[in-house]
Amino acid sequence: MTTDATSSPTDRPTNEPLYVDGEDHLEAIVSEHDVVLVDFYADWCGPCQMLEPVLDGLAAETAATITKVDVDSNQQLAATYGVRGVPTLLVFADGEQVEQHTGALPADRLRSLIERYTE
Amino acid sequence: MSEGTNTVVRDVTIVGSGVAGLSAAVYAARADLEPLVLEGPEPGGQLTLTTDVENYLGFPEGVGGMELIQRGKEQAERFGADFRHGTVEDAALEDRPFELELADGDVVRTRALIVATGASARWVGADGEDELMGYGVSTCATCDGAFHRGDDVLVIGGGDSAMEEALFLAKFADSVTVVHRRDELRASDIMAERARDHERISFRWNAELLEIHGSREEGVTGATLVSHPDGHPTEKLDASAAPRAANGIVEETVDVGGIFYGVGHVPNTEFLEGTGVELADSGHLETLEGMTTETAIEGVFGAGDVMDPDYRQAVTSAGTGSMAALDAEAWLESQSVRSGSRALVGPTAQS
Repeated sequence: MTTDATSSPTDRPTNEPLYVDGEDHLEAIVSEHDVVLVDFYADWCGPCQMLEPVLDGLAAETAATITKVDVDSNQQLAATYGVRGVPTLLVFADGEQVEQHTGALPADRLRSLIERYTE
Repeated sequence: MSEGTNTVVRDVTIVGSGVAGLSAAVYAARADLEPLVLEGPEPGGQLTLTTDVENYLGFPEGVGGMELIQRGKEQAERFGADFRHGTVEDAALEDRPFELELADGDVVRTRALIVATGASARWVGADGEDELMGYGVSTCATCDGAFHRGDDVLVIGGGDSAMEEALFLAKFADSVTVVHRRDELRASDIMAERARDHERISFRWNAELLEIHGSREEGVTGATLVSHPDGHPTEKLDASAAPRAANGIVEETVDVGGIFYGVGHVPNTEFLEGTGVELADSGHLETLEGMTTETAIEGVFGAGDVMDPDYRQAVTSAGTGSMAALDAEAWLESQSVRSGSRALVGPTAQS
């Protein structure tokens, strides 16, 4: 597994969640990385906060790139993806959206959701 | 991460990380039992879905549900509780130590078990809810309410949690209609009065949600409600094959952009079926008669909403959590006295 988190943007996965700023940024990340999990979250959402350490762990332990979208500062982007609740989790593989789920998921289910595409 | 989980035997494992599990963890950790806390599929439990808790002793100005949980977790960790992501799928309680099989395949072995798995939001059973849950249908107003600015929304239910959802949603939605199957609320007077007094909240009495309209692309667009002057309309629908109008049942379609469920909770005890732990018809774990958290299986204890169909408060869950840890500690001590071994405190034994 790639462990180099300090390199400049490449197609390698990152070990820490990336914070998305706007639609272009998300599109760039999705096209640069093989498997991307996007977490649409809000600071005021309890389940989102409980999910945070889980996603930090998955960023470090899986080959997927974990990205986070703050829905309050990215309302347009959230609307584009039909987000009507938080957390909403999307998975992209090879640039295509392959999964969408609203509500927190247990760590092991999230991991298997990701590993369906990374392995 | 998984290495060694099969050989270590914990003194106490707590299943669930809501207020009951955390309170049990604080007590067990302070007793040097080094409890393992399995956080479950909804870490932090129901309090993470609420806004302010106004009736928890010691917080005159109220405290955020999330804050209470985070502080509780810190407190448990400070005394040495060990937290782990994990959901119990199956429990083998006939042999000792007990074995818990987790969703990821790992096995946890433990001498004492505290079940604090709580209860999860009940679904109404309306047509379309499977497809639209998360797409405009929600069990968590605090999570999803802000997506309904300017919408008309429904809240289904008549208890305190339905009133709390309605009051929260009224900050965002144009109108909130509480749909309740009877003509009086179960909610406490203070919550019912706040909802009744709110200009954007109205009530649809003796009515139930039958069907949800919409699609995943568009979200929720509307709903079909049924009502009957005597309440519980869907029961009357089910009970009779006669035409609806003849039964006094009125069906109507409303345009709404969001539907929020506040119809109570179902205890999370599926993994205990067939284990010897007794379950009530409602699914609640049954503790022994009297003031105790013991169950029909020695060494298994219950705490919080999973064993409490009546009170279901943050403060009562914290209370039964502490009781379960004290009961578990006393039981472990009695076991070690009987077997003549050292007191079961300190580091967990390795086989």
